[in-house]
Amino acid sequence: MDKKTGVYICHCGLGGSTETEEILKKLPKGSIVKDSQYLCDITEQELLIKDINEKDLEQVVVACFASDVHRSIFKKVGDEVGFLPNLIKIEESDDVVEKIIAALDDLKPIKPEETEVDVNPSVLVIGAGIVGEQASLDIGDAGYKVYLVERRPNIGGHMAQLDKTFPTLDCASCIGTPKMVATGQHPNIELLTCSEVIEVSGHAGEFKVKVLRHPRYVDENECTGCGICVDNCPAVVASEFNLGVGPRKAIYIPFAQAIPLAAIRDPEHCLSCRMCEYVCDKKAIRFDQEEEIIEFEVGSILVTTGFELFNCDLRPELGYDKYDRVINALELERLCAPTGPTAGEILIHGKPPKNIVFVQCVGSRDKNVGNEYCSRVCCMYATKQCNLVREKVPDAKFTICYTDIRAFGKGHEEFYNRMQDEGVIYLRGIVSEVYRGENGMMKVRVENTLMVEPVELEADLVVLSAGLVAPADTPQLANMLNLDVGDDKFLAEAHVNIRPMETRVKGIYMAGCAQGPKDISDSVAQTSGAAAKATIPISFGKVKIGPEDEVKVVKETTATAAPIEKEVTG
Amino acid sequence: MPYPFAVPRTYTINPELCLRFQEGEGDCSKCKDACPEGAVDFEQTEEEQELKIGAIVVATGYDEFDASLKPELRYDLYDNVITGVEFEKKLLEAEKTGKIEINGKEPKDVIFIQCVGSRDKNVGNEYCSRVCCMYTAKQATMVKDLIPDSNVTVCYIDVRAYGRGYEQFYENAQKKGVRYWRGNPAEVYKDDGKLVVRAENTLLGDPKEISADLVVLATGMTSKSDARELGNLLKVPQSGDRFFLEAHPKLGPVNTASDGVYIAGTCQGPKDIADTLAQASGAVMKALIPLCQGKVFIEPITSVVDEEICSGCHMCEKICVYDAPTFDEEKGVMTINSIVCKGCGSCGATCPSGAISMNHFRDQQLFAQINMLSS
Repeated sequence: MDKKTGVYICHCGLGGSTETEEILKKLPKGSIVKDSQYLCDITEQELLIKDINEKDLEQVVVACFASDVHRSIFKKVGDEVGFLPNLIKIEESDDVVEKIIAALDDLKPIKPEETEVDVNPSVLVIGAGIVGEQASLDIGDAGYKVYLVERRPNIGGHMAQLDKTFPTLDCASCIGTPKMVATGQHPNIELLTCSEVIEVSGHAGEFKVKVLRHPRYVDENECTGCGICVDNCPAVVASEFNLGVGPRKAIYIPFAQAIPLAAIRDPEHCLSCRMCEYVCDKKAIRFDQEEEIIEFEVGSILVTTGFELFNCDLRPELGYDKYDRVINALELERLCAPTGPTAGEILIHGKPPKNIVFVQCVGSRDKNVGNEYCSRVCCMYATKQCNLVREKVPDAKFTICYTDIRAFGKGHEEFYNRMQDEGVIYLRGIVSEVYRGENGMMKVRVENTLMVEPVELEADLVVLSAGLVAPADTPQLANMLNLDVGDDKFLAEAHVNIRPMETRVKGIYMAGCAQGPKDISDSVAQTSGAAAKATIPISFGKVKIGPEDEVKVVKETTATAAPIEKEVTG
Repeated sequence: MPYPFAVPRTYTINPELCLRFQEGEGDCSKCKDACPEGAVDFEQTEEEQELKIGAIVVATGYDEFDASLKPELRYDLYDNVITGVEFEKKLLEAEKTGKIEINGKEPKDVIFIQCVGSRDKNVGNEYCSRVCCMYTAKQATMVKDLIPDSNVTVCYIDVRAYGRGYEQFYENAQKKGVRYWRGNPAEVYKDDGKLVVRAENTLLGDPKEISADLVVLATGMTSKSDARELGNLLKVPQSGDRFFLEAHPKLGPVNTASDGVYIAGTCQGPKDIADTLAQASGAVMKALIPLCQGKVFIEPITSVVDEEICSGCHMCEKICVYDAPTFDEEKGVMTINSIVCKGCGSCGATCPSGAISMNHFRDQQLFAQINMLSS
């Protein structure tokens, strides 16, 4: 340690003061150690620059509470003096003096090595649920090109599977379909379905992207979605879109409003009878279609890969895999939907259910399954589903077994109060077990924690309010994009409060449930925010990048998914 | 200056307190004489500026709920019953001094009361304020850290730890010894000089009286007191909770009934910092779209005036909330500004001479629909 050093300790988040003498002893003559408050303030920074110039400091150390978000703030200092301060992150449990002294031994000079590069005026959006659609529409509306990549054969994501949305009870199709149609028709949006991003390299302003297009075996441009091939296909399998509640064919259109409205052939179940090819007037069937890799460049990337539903089999005591009277919430949603496989008729063993018990926090707030977090939507969707079922079965009784009711969004508390007034019973207690009673009905064992008594509820339908989990291949995606994953397995943001849509890589942003569970309103607001982040460098035309902003290709392709719909029950 | 790192970093004079501005108090100018830059200017007056802009983002935030509207909690009466925001300031001081002091003493029994002014129809706020559970968990944890032998109790209805990392934080508070007591207090009073909080523990079905030296009220968020005036100015309506109403909760969470006016943050409803920032950037995106395009598209359905029939009576001008009709002095008839017109039809229904109709949606079409339905 022979360089004249300035050490600045910012106390706004730490409180107290530091034994500056201890640190000064370790430094060569002419060095200074200063306690300060609000180092991010412009006047303080001017003083810092003055110190450096007047005292000929050769390096500067800044110790503060939130160093990870403050790097850019000290760029002004770097511009003035030719080097950047070394930032040391202090945490509450740290001994400040000890930590600074330890860091002094291993200081490397940081030069402001930023270069300005041109920004390619286009954006890659990964995942085309409501969040990916909204971001694409915003960016497209601003006049920039969007590549919207979706693994499934159609866009729309989970929202397309819902019947109605809380708390306004808007029909999900009525508000979702116009977005899908607008996305499909937008002149600036290039829609790539049945596709996966397999490689990304480069940096903000210029990312090189490789996308693998799986064969649809149908020419998307020729197919009119008339469905004659579907009618004539002899092979029948369970429909993924309807979560197995209804059938589909081996050549199929996932649902009536699918965008793009084109059939897809599932080679795994196809009997290769070629009936579809024979009946298609447009000659749109392409048995010889093959995988293809397309490459393009974009200026920013937006990750909107959403969530998977918690796999209820991981809570075996709830009997999801054993009893057909136990279903998950998304399955109930398909049963309620007028466009669903039962045309909205809810029949359990041929009869409308009269006694329905909802089990909350299945796969959420539960360390045993590894998910400590709250899924944010289940309290409200269960409340909503009581309303949906009651519309079809007016004399049904509802009990929701909960831990805390988290009705925190706009209009949520009002909706929760309304459903209580209308007779939905909220029973505070976690369900320990679901089993079959002698009469064939389900028995739900739960402790009513408000009455301090264990009770057994009889139910002809048990609905598991399954939580939201990160898509299974999030680690591979994070690896490919050089992103971090949080303890909850969702993608990690740059800072949970201050930079909720940015990632550790400049130029890569995220929104919606990819970053953690949230409802549609919060997701849609956030995705427009992320779209703004992605658009800003493009409308500037230039972006500054440093050596650490490069995305390195980690390994070869990670493509694993088949071209058919992946199951959504997770 | 309101606080040390205020932006802009400028001092301001409060004329209500400054002696110079009080009648008959002479002409003190000590600050002016002392300022080496000569920056103090007593002559400054209000001025109006006119700006031409392409979009407006409303980010006016919230007001804190006035705890004195819950008289049973005795916020007005006892100085050791304070609000969460007041306690936050105490904690800020404690960061520097290492000590929390209430009336010169370190509190040993601290009770936090949740949902003060939230989830409460009696005060007209049915909604949840979304942040109080977590700010209380934070404050309770800090009390435990600063005063390890204190008894810290949080009285709650539901703990709404929904955001990223919140559940872990809530659990951590419990691990540090913060006691969560399900049941919101009915009353705070004093007995023998000590505060007593009367609360039923709904988990044990047990009414209890707990004594405390400090009661912190987790006051909720309410809409700004002048939200109505701003709303009228911008033509942005309020929802039942008095926060600004978005165009649609899912299709347009940052849009409003007025094109080009967007809302973000707690002026639209309570939310935490992360959600606020996400929404703020969302509003920015919506404002950017027309700016990037250089053009806006207007709705095709707007009203038109038949100049042959219009008598220029101004009835339409009075009914229109968007200020679309204006009087054409030259022709003596009303004209509609089709850029601000929303095509709501109020003017058409009001016009006594039937001179106003909607483009692409004329009376004949409407009557045909009614006939169809009623036949």
